[in-house]
Amino acid sequence: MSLPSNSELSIIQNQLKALVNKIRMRALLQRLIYSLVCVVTVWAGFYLTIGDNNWLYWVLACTPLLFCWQLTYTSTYQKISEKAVLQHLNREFPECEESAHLILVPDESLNLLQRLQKARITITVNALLAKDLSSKLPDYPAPIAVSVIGFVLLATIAIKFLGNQASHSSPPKVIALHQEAESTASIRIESSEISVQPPAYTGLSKVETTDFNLHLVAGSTVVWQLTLSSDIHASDLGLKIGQEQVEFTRNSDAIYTANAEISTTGIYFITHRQHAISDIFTLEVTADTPPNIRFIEPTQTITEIPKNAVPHFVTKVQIQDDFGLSKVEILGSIASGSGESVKFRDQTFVFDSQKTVDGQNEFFKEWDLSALGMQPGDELYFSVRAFDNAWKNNQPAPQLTRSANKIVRWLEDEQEGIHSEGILLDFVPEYFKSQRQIIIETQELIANQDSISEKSFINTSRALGTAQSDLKKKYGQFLGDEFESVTLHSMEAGPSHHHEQSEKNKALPHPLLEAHETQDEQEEALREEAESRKHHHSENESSNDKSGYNQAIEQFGHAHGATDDGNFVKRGVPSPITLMKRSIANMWQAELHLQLAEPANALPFENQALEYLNRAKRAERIYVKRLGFEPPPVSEKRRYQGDLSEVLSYERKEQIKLKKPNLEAIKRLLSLLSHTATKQTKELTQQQINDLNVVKNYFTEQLANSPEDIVFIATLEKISLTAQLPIENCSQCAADLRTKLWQVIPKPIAEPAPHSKAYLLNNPTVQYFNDFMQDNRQQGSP
Amino acid sequence: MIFSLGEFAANPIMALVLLVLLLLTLGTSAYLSLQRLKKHSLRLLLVWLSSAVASLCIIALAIDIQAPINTQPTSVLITEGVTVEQLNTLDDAQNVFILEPISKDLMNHQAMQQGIVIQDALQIFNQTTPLHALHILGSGLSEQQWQHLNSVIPAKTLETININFSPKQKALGLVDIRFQKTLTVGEFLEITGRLQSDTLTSNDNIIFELALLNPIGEVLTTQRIRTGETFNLSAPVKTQGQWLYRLQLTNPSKQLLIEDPLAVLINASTPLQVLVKQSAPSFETRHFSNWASQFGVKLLIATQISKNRDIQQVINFNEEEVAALNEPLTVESLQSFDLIILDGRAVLDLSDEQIQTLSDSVQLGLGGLILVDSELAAAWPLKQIEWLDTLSITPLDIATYSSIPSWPNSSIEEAIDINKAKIDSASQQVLVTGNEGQSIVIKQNVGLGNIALSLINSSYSWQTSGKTSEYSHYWQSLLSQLARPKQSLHWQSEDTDRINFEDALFVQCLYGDANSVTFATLVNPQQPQEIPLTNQLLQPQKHCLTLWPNQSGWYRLQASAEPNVKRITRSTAKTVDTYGYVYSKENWQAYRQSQAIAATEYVLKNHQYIASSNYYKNLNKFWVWVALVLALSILWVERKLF
Repeated sequence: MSLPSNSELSIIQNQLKALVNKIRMRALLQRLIYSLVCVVTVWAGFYLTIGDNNWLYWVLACTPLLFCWQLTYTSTYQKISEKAVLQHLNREFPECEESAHLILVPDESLNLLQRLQKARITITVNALLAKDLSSKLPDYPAPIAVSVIGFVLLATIAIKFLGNQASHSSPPKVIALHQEAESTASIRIESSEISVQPPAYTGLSKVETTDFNLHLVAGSTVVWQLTLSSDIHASDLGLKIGQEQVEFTRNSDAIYTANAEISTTGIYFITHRQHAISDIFTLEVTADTPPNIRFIEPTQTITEIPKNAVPHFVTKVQIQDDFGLSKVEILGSIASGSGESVKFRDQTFVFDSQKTVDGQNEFFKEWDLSALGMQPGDELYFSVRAFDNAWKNNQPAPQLTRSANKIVRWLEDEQEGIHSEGILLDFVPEYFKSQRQIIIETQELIANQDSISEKSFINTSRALGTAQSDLKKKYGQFLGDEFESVTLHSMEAGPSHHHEQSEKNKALPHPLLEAHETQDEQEEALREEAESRKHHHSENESSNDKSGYNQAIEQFGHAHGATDDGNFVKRGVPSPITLMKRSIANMWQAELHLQLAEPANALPFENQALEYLNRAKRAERIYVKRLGFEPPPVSEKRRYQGDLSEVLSYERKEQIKLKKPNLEAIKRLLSLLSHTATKQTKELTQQQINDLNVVKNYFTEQLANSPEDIVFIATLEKISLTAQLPIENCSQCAADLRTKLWQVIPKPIAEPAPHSKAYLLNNPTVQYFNDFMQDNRQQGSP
Repeated sequence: MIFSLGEFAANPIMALVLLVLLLLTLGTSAYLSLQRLKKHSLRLLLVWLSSAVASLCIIALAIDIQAPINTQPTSVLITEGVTVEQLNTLDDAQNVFILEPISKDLMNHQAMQQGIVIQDALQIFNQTTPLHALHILGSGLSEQQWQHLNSVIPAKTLETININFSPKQKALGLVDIRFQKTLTVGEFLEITGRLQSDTLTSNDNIIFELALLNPIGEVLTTQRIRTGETFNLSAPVKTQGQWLYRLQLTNPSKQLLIEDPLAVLINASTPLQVLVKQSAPSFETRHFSNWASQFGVKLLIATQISKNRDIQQVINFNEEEVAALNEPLTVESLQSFDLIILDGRAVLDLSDEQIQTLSDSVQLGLGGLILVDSELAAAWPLKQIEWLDTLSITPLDIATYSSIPSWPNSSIEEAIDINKAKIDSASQQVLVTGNEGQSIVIKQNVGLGNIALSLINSSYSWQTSGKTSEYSHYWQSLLSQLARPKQSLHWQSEDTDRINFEDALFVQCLYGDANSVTFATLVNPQQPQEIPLTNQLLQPQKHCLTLWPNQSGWYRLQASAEPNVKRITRSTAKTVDTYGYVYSKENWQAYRQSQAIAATEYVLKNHQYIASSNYYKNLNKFWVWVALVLALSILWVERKLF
């Protein structure tokens, strides 16, 4: 047998090397699968908890390569050699006769027998290597690892899919602000430019800003220009303003633009495929206010021009508007004649001139009553109407303000006043709507509410309010009230000390008044003491007066006392002035509700005002009656002889609705904000989210009156979207909201409190003490 | 030289046994060495000598040996609030103990470097040096620390110690603070205290401004105050919950000097049951029922509409309760009510049996309020109600009678019509006074309950004139004085003069039936705990829990009256909870220091020191150790060499 040639051996060695590489690849693959088990498990954990994090996943992806590289340096890996393969062939194939490894041994180190065996076996091995030995080679299986990887992947996909399904099915407001869809996560706003173009009529210039929280005038057009971190479809990008969705357009420079006309206060945010990609921002809108008219001259409602005077007078009016006036006019009505033959002539006038004084628009008109064709006995009623320059929906929509009516009387004869105990009771001129008339018209307005338009309803109600105001001022003037400063409280409670003082001051001429104001406290105290003595003196006198004569004089005859002391309760007898003041107090309330277009609320006050007016007129008669008639006290016998046949039940059950939901939600939210730790994140419960929504609705309702509250709505929206506290990136938001909520809670109404001393009645010590006290008491009593 | 058993003093028998064992060992060793070294007398002598020395050394190490000295050794205890000036007075020879917490700035002081830092004052008694004199620097020990010390250290030991105290210089601050920790909505938070003067700086003439702020930092009320003066600030509390109000002290230049929190728990209204018995419908009771019913108060209003007929209105009762109240004027029915309100004529119309029922019920704790009218005043005193003879009503013959009523924290400034009568009670308990000092509402305790007479029967006029707060406060103050005390399981309000600090004792007590209380759960955000309740010996219905909170903040305490409850959960029935606030050590520093100084001064005032002319110090046992080692070494070498 010839020895194997070198070429034969070289072929065998090459084949062996190929086998070694194959086996090593299998070992590496096994290691790779094992390491993947760890990597996939770790990845799944991170993916499900912290979401997307690219750099972390790259690190994880590289880890198996590290494991494999590390394997190549291990002895296990190095042992996979040609010799080991031949040894393996020895085990697997009996025809190798346990001699295949001799192929790698140089002939020089073999003895003769080994060389012969090598020659023999070379042929066999060569034949074996020519076959496909894949199935006979070690295959390094990893079925469990593969199963684990498969399971982890499937589980991750399932959890993610089900999680997405769940989040889609939940209300959209609970979607976490920063957990958007995968594609959305990477979108960031790189730069922004916002321009606010106020309506042209305002004359305000365009404002450019990068602050997304905008303060603007109603009707402004806002243009948002954004540059994003990635290129997306413009149709996917939107602007959610309240319930409205505004789409962006994309220009060639990859700038996304959206514009909207903003008329109401609200919040907005930027969305990508309905997912928020920005914070929540506020739109604080300042509405155009109607003009404000103030009469500088004449200040009185009624101006009287004596018969023989020059019938000239001047009207000077200050009119202000935030963005300018479009039209100012005077509506006049001339009444001539009297009784059945009275004639009215309506006319519109314009002001003679206009000038700006200290930045205020002042309008002037000089009237010549003769030029208007008036004669003594005629009257002129006029009011000023001012229109501003507001536009709405691209067309003029001026807002109108009408001033109170002014009356100019060109007197025919000297006035014949009807005085009753120092007060003029029957003084209401015919051209005022009477209180009864106001009541009738209010009732009519309420009845017609459904059949007339809302605008008409509001205007009629306000007109009635103006009429009520005129009547109130008219009565008030005769009572000497200062309407600019007097409140309902002082009206109802009668004159306060301060009021008394002002009344006293009124009686003094001007120089005296000034001196009076600068008097020191000592003098003040002395005067008060003197007044007090004087008062006591008169009271003592009146208490001794059985006939009531002095009391009557004091109450009605003595002007100082009558004006100052209108205390209904103290006197026990209604004074006409007190009744008049109460009537006027009710007129104030009626006017308030009429101006707010709430005639139903005004009606009770109107009725009350009329009632007091009538009582004031009858007061004197009532007083006389009481002097003559003292009714006997009601006896028990007579009192309880009522007819009970119509009493159906002697029991009535009631369940009181305990709390106001809005207020309770505000209180709960306030408590939540006050006790949430600043560092620890707290997920909100459904009840807490409901409270948030209730409070949000409350603020939304208040928005018309206080647009600045929009920041609190934005804060609530932020909390609502993330459904957790504290609020990210805005520590002050929660503090401000907390302050606001505290302020919203009304002044406390004291609630029933437990007994201030707590002890248990069944406590033996307490019982012994009680027994002891009772024994003492019994012993003490005869 | 004095020898004493030292650590073995507590168990002398053990000491004797050990000594006998030692001697036996020495004897055995001596015998065996004699056997071994019969022929080597010198070595035998050396072994015997070494063994004897070693035995003596062991005994000397085990017992206390004190040597007499001429001067009294003094130890110094440095407590919180110590000043640098006080530390500068220390000399190196003194043993210094530093009781934590101590300001970190002072830890670098030279005197502090050689001191031993201790966490408990008890540790100063564990030192080897006998304590003859103790000099306390700083604020001293708190009341709790002294109690702890007295409970552990025998009185005889303390009596041998000469204790001195150098209190720190007083700093400007608020002390003697008192305020109610638990309130109901609308009640007034009233804080009283004193502004302590700074002894270092003369600020007696400065007028400071003290302000009470609400939880959002708005100033509610202010008071101008000089040092040494007391203050009293009050404001109504607004809404239910746990809130931190604040006290701020500023100087005339508006610089903030001190700010301390006031933790207040504001509870919901108490669900009372009130019976109104009236001879005719009245606005007074109508408005009262409107106010009370909105807070869940259960009302039964019995109004006489005919000679022999009442009409009953029940508010907030359920059907079952209504069925049980068919005849309200029985002792059983009145047991369920906390207060009964009667008008004058209704009182006059009560039958003898009803009067007896009312008397019995009031004796058992019911509160009564009688709205006096002219008929009742004219008929007083009533023969059939002799148990009310301590109350007097005198009709006044005047045309009208009005007054400005005043009760604690009231703010009514207008006069109101009151009934023309003068009322008085033997106990002089006046709840509402008039502007001329006359009594308008008075109270008399009767048994466990009480009866009040009121001349006001038109308080509703405050309500109708928009003074709802004043009106509700008036009725709240009456109910809190008259209604039956709460009888169900409830947490006791904290003492007004106590402030709980972190790392200090916190005690909260529960009132209720002892058999039904299981345990309380302490809940703070981090670690809920279950704390056992301990019964009070003298008050079996009082159960207290004690803890040492180590963190400031609100703590929620829950207990259940449900039997056999192992753990309180949301579904557990009959739970009662409350909140307690634990203040940080940074808060109320002046208060804490003044408390500690007062406690230390009080203890030292009553401390009896029995002086001794002989002073000893512990013998330094270093050379005994050396001798023992040497002797044992000789024995070892002898054994190894030969």
